[in-house]
Amino acid sequence: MKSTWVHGLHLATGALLLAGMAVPMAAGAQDDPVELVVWDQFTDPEASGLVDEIYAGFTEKNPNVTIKREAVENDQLRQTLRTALSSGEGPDVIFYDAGPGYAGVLAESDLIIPMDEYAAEYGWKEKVAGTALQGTTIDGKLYGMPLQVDLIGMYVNTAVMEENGWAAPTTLAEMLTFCKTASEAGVIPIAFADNPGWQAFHQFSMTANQMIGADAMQEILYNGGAANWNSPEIVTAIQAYFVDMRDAGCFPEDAVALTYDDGNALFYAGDAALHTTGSWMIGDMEANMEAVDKVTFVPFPAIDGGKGQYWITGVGSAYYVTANSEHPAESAAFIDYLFDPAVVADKWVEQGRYVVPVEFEAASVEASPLFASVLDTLQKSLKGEAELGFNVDVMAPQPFNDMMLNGFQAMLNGDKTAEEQAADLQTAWEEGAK
Amino acid sequence: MTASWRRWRAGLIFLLPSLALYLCFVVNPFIQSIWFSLTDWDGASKVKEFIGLANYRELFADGLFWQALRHNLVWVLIGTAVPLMIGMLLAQLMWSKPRGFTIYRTVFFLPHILLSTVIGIIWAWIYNPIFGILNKGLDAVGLKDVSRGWLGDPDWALLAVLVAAMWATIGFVFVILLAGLQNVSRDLLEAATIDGANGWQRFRDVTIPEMANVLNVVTALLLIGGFSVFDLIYVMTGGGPNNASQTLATYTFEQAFAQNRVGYGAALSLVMTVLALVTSFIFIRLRERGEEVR
Repeated sequence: MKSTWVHGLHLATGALLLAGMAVPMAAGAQDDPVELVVWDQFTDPEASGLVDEIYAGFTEKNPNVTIKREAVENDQLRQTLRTALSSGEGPDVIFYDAGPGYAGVLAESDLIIPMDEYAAEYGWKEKVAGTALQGTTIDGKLYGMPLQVDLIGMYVNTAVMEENGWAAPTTLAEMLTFCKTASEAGVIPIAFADNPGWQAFHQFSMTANQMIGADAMQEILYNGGAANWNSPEIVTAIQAYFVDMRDAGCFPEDAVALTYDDGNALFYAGDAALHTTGSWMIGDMEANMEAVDKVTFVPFPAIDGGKGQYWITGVGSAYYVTANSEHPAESAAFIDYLFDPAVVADKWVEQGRYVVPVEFEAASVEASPLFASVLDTLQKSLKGEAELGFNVDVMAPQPFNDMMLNGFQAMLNGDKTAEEQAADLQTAWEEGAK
Repeated sequence: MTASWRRWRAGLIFLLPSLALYLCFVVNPFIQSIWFSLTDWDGASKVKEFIGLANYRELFADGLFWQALRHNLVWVLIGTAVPLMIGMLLAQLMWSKPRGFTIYRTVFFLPHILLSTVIGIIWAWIYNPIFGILNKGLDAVGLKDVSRGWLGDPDWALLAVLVAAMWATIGFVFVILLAGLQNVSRDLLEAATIDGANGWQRFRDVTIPEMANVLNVVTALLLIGGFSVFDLIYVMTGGGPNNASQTLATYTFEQAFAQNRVGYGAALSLVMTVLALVTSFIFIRLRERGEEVR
């Protein structure tokens, strides 16, 4: 018995000694100077300034960490990041596009690391919306923390609508009637512009979700469900926007020649009554439209035979830790700071107008009615009170996106039918899945 | 050590820095491109699986490759002939240094010093269907039926971008040809005049042969540029609508960086390089043969 006690005492003493050693080691590790290299896409001067401020907040709390930040244009990042990482160079943390064509390629090549361990440590899965985390989960592992989540829907310039005695359409039939009426009155119904072509992705996402429903779309995009893009529902979805609405005069003349900026300018100027695009435009609308308080944001109209009206959501970009990083723990701590509800509410949301998929006190955020409505919708979805549809392109393979880009342009020019496009989309999906 | 070797050695030492840079930044990437073109590399994975000539076999069966090549041929033909003709015409007009020569020369050359992105943006504004000066001008002179969304019309998008490119190139061609004209012997021209040659005959039989070398260089540059055109198309149409302005360079970029098919992109870029070199070589050989016959 005595020897057991002695052994126990020895063990306890040993454990205490080890623990005593461990504490200074951990403290020492925390005090070791660490430089985190971060590549993000916040190149806009205003956004860049805000991000500097946010990153500085982290380094103030962690004085041993310095952050070397490089802001790189999205296009340029897509071209350089893979090469940098595969050559063993590059940053510790990246803010990069989610989806199989971007972060998916990096994950497959083990250039970014799974973060499930850190997610458990910091409680990320409780903090961030599950649907958003799905967008950065690859083969069951969480790779990224989605910062940028947007809603896609329809902006309505109520000033223009009220002036003409029009109501925002809630069904496709109403939309087609409205387009004819507005065109005859000399108002462009929808500020849709499709040069260079990615804008059509979002229009298709809206009509496809309205037709097959959010659950079915989630199954296809996130749960590996069998996709059938060549179904009658999808043909109807394509026909609705790219044929029926085109023929009803819903878009500006020569929409394929107009750039996204041209479309935005038409809406800002009040030349167009509606604008079918995403919540990322709110900041610009607030800056460019005098009567921004007259703008509302609603889901795209329902289509006959479909499942109803859904807001569309999708992950834009997320923070990832690279496999080359010598400081993954510090990188994870840095990312956790970025998603702190206070940082999210005060910085990202209120100052940056970013829609972040984190539950926070929305009432504390100073926001225009337009932005508040978007925040409200997203917060409701986080609480399970609103069902959102899913943006297709961020989760689709590249051949599918390529087919959307070229095929919808061909349709707008009258060179392709909805049936042909649906069949081509299915082929492209299968090609991308190989 | 002979004097000759010492001279060689000194030359080699002076050449070494340039040679090292050339090997590093030209030869090395070129060899790597050849290797990539024989793999299915996606630009990220550590493994580059050797697939032999599969990329090349796929390329020759790829309809978009042939479509892009056709666009390049249109670009090369029109984009070489028109700047040469207009550049030569302007150079002829300016040869006698008329009043305002310096201003004209500056104005003609100015577009060439602009960045391609700037040229793309300027011309995208000109073509803009809402506020573009081209459509407004056509409408003003009663040609409303002609005005259109130039960059969104599959029949016109490529030509519209080509016009912007030629606008920028003509100044460059003009300046080079004007410099070349300074070497044309006025005595020969006077002799031809005395022999009764008219203006066209003097141009064809004296000026052109005298400028053969300059014309060769300019034409070769235009041909090579025509095969590798990328920036203006990328800025103005992105290769659209529906690939209507896709060229080999934009298609290569799309495959390598958007579709994550670096191996296939490398194969495309090598084919593009070979086409440019072969075309230029054939042209120069034909010119030289023409000179010999003459």
